[in-house]
Amino acid sequence: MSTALLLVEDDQAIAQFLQRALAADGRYQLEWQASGATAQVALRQRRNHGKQPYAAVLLDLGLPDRDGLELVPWFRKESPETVLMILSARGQEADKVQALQSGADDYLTKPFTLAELLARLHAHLRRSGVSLQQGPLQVGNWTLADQTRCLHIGEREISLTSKEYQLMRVLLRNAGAVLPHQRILSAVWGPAHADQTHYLRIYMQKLREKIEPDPNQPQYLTTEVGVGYRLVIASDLTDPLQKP
Amino acid sequence: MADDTDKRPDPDALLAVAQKEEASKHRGRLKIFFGAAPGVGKTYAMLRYGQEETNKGRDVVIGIVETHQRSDTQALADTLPQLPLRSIQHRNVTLEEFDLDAALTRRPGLLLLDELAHSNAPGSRHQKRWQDLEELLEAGINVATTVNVQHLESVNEVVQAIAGVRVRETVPDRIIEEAEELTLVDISDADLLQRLKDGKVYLGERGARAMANFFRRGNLIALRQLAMRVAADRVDLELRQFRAENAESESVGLRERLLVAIGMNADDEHLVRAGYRLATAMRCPWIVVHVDTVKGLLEDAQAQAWLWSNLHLAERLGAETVRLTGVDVVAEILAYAKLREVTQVLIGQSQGMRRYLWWWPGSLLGRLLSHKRPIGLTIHPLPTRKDVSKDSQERSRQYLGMVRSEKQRRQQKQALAIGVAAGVGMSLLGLGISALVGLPGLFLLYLVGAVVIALYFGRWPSVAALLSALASFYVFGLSRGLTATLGSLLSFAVIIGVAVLISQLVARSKEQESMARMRERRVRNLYTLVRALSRVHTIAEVLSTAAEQIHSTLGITVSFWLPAGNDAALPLQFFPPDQDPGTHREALNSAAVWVFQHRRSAGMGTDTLSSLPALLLPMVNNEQPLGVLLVSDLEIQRTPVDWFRYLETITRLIAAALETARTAEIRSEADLRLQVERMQSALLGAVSHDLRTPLTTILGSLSTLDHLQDKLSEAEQRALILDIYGQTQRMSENIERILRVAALLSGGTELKKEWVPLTEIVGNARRERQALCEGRPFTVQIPKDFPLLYGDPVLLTQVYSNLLENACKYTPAGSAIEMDARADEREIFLCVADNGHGIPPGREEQIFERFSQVKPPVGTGGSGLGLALVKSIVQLHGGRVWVINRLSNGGARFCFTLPRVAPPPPPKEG
Repeated sequence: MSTALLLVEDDQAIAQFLQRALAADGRYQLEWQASGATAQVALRQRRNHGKQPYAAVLLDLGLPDRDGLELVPWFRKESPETVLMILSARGQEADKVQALQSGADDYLTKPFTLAELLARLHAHLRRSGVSLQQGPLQVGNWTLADQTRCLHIGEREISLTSKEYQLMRVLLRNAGAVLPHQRILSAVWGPAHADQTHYLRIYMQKLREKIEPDPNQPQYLTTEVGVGYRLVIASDLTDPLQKP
Repeated sequence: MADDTDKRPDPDALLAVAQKEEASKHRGRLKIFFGAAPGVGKTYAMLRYGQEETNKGRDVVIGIVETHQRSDTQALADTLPQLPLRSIQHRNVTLEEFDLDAALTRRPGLLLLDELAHSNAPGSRHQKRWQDLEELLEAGINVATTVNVQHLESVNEVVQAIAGVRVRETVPDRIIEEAEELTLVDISDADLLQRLKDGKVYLGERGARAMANFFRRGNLIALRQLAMRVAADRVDLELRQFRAENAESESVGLRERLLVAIGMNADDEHLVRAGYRLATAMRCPWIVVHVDTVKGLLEDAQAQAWLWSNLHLAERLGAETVRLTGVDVVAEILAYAKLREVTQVLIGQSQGMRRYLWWWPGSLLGRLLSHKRPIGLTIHPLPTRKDVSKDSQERSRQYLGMVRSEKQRRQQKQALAIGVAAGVGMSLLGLGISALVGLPGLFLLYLVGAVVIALYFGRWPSVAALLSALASFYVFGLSRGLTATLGSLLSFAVIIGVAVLISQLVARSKEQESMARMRERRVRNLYTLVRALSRVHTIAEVLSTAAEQIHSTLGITVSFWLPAGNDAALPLQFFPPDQDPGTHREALNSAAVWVFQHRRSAGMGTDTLSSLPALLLPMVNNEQPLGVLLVSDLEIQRTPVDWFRYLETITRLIAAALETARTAEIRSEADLRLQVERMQSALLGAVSHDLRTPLTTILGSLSTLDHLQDKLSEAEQRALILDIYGQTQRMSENIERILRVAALLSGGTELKKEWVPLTEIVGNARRERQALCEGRPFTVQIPKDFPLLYGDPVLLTQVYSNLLENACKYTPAGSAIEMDARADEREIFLCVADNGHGIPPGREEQIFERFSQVKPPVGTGGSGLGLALVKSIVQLHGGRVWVINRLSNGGARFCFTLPRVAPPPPPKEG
């Protein structure tokens, strides 16, 4: 059975391209709504009919009836388990941060490639199955033990300081998603330090030195410039077409 | 005077009228009910007036009225609405005062304010009610008030002479002059005495008997005459004004200008008041001048205090005050008089012996008399008595905050004790050696001892030493063998005389020396401050430098309030920004706003808000308020004698430096705008170039596919698709960059500066350029513990990304790329070097301009926007960028700098 997705997008060309592409992929079934209002109706109707909620919503910000940013909290409230991914032509970091802060899981700036979209979707849908309970956290071949504060990556064992452990825990729990600076800072250092981005930067640097093969060219702990960080565990985020 | 000018209004007078009208449009109108003594019915008349105005429909409100339980007055007052009074707690007593802020908020059409000469309770904003009045008028509120003649500052002495009572509560005469209307409330002296007998006059609770003395018939007649004279002068002034406005003036006449020369004596207070009366009578501007001479500078602090209090008084009486410096007092005064076209000079002549010396060539009077230029000369006799009125002494001491400290008093006592002990010691020594040296030697010993003590401890300890020596001299029986006791006493008297004389000289010269040293140090401090301020450029630097300098030289800590915005307007924010005024924060903040708005100082030692435990000085340049300087209380007590004036000078210097810094900041903003505009115009060109080029390829490839699909092999079709893909990506990147530049330009210059490690920036940039720089050996050299960068992470990544793009695009595939970083105290140096062909000599500057490319290799095709963007981003961060050709390996080395900023607090572990 294919996974149900909802696309909220007013541009017909993009909607058609995505419907064709996802249909060809075969794993997903994409429903399309061209305005915020109809999207809200569709989401409610689906729930009222007792169907499984959408696995993911792809939301364009420039909708004809309202600003997509205003819809983000609504979706988050109505359907907390749905992966909410923003598709927008707005490249401003402030917009990205705002969308992520109000509950979006990811942000793709137009133009994007199909491969990029599929890779992100895949990562998020897999993550939404990760349990949020206490105890050792496991994602892929990464395991974070809460007793010893040790991180295992396959065979490697890395011991972490208390702050590094807390930071790693937040990242691992949200593996694959973009985490805005403020969100990590509030989670690890407390809301009072939400503006001290240099705390985070210094600790990310420390983590990279411990985890990355080349700390100067991180492949796991990646930076979303001007927005935040993303923990990339599998190689599912690389764009196959970018390699000649 | 020529006939045709006779009937024309005097232009100066017209201008004055126009200015007055302009000012009074905003200023409230003042009506004064003026009387000769308490009990003449001023309050009643004022209330009646209030009632009449209410009937005419005006919004009349009582600010404060003292009815003293007189039923008729009370009944009248009850018909009018009254503002609630303000309760002030002072030493377990609740005092009720007029509520200035309530009146300012209420903004009545007419406010009735009784007893203008009243002194407010401690803790009020102003010390005197007339200051409240001024603020009300400034706020445009009309006021009616009552004043008795004895409260006028200028007649203060006359009243003292008439009634033998020194009136402490005074009102400056200018208040009377500025009033729109003056109504004399008058009853005959007989009626007033009758009212007094009937118990209808309230005399206050305590001073009833003293006041009863005051109410003698002779006094009352004299006061009544005085009040009428003041009122008549005022009417006379009005008549003259009316004539000037209506061209009824008999003659334009010469413009008079009065100069009053004062010295450093307490008595000069009389001279200032005389000057005021003279200037008012002549209706001319007047200047009070003091000439600072070397001798004057060496006068003691008390003399300085008198001078300052007298100059202050002159200012309050409406004079312009000037301090000149020179060796020859007379020459200075005459030169200044000539410069200012002074027509009248007023000098004082003391009644002592010196008045007979006027003919002496050096005397002020003699030289003024013999001066060539015709100048009117008035000589005011100064009283002979040396006993300066206690309260003027008190006032001047208070003014300068030079009340002797507890510590000094203790030291003085210690010195006296040492003197006594030394006297006994000398006699003991005398016991031992008297046989050897005899009596004359013994006396010499005393003399030397007295001089030494005078030298180290001053006059009185030295006298104490001699007296105790004299006592012990007899006690120890040293006088044995002395033929006559009278002789020894005489010798002691001579020794004491000599010792006192010497100690006097020593003390004087020590005082002079320390004074001179203090002055010298002070001038040097000012010089250092000016030099330090001239080296800094931003407002924050000016303030912190000033605070530092004041702290290191005066030992006091100052802080500031500055307008939060760019324009010199409210609200104010505190500096340093991470602090606030501490205790009394609310009161200090609102006081700062008052000081800023009124451009007058407030707090401790001033007339306004004197109960505040701090001093606030306005920083004003060219009449424009720039901020407020705060000195808090503990520190005030530690400061040297005439700190107030010194601080004023410093404040003026800081204000001037602030203004310069502000102008410079505005100018650099303008420069930045110009740069932004230049970039904007170039952006349009970039858009068309950057988008059209890849579009051409895409369109071409697509049309090939469309038209020739049948004729193309599978591999050729795939190649065309990859071409389209590549060009689309390039276009996408270009759009990204154009948008980045556009945002940089339109968003103005707002950088989102954060602390970020260099390694992260470099990592980001390398990831962005991963595809382009595939297969190139990289060396990255960043020293361990490299300082954090302070900048916009997105834009700094862009800088590196563009430099990497450049390096990878324009150098042969596979050649190495080197990145390195170093930092000195002021700047951080960041470089990206390649091993390509380098930059053609002479084009090192040009390549940072837009659309400038060096020999673009086939197929790369950039717009030339990249380096221009690098340059603007670096410049926005306050850095520089340049390129050099490397000597050893060939290739180009691009470097840029960022200013090094003090690091942020490190993160907390655990």
